[in-house]
Amino acid sequence: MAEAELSSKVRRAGQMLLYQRHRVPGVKGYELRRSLGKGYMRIIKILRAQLENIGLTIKIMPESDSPVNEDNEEELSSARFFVVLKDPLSLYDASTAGWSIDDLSGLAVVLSTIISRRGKAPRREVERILKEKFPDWKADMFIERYIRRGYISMDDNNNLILDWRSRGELDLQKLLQYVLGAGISEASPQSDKFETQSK
Amino acid sequence: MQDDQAAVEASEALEVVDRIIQLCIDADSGRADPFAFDVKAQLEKLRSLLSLWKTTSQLSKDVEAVYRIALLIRLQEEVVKHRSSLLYTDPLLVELKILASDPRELATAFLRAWRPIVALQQVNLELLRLAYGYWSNLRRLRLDQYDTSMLPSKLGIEQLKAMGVLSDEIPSKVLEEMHQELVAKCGDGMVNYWEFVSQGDFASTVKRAVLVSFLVTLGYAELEIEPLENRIWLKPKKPPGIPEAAEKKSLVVSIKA
Repeated sequence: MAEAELSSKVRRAGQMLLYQRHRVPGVKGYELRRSLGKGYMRIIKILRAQLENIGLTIKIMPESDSPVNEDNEEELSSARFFVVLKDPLSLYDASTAGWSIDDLSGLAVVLSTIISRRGKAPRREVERILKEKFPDWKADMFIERYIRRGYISMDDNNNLILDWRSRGELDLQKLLQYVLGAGISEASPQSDKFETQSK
Repeated sequence: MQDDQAAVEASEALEVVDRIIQLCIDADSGRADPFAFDVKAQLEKLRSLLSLWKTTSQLSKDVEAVYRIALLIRLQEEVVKHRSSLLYTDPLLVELKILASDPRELATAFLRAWRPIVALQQVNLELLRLAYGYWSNLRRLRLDQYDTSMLPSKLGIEQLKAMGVLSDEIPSKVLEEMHQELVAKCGDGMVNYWEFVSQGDFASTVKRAVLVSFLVTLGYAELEIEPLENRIWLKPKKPPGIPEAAEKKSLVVSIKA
């Protein structure tokens, strides 16, 4: 592939991934293949390297819970590709992006409760735990907000389950680990970043 | 006398079966521990009661109990899998930890595992230009000047025949020509359904849509739908044919005059 063609495809892939075209951000593998042609994973890998220079990266979320094989484009056709932050946000950055400490801790409570109960928890149970720390109106508002933003959804039996955004944005295993270890070490997101870099 | 005794025994046995069903439902809905249910003992109990069942309703109760036990075994399997996975943590432990931590600590824990999605939602000049073009071409809609003849109405088969859209028999030559046209336009790829069907005037568009529906029904072409983007793609089938295990589906296409 000529260099000019390659860089034009990398630019196009960047636009596709960053510009929100559907209700859910990102694009599916088959859309990338249609626009960039066969061998689109090569373009994605180049773009990922470029994005990592500015603190972003590309995440691939498979349709099922199976692990991602980045070399198999056929398998990836139904997977969703999107851009995420490479490093964690600090509390200050999150608050300037519109997330209060209560918002974040409420989401941590809701998600870790759901994960610890095999991915499904009755809404009343989750509300009961939230109401231990927050007023009733706030607990209800949080749950509605998390549903609206795609972190959780509700099934027919009033159970809360994880939704697409939780699977896309969070390392669920680490979340549980960090919640269980909350307050034990004073490790902040910033120190976590240094930990990763030193490795 | 013996009949009465048998009836009493059967009614007591039915209560036992009801209790087994209720225990399974409780475990399934999370109100009871699935491992507190002794599957082997309950199945033995059901087997010992089997000779008492005489009517269809009693037998169906027995079948329901066996079905519920099968579901419970599946639930036990899921629980074992979850407990052996890396995501397993005792729910009570998590709850106690949550209640013992202050919101700031929980928010910090959350941030460490969180990598938010980055996406842009803004209008660019090109989109504005397209939107302006669309707005300029929109027909003015004033309710007080609204021509009632423009309201949606039904077209009967006779009217469609008069317009030349329908005929008693569609000549196979017309279909063949359309198939050839589709193959020429698509090559190995696909063509946008609306680009292919739209022919300027309303009658021709409807006629082509009807012919395309015949092509698809007869297995000469297939439709691919992208529901999120509301796009329909049309592609010729090589070789034409309808697979035996084909899924039958209807697609409603709305055509505006």
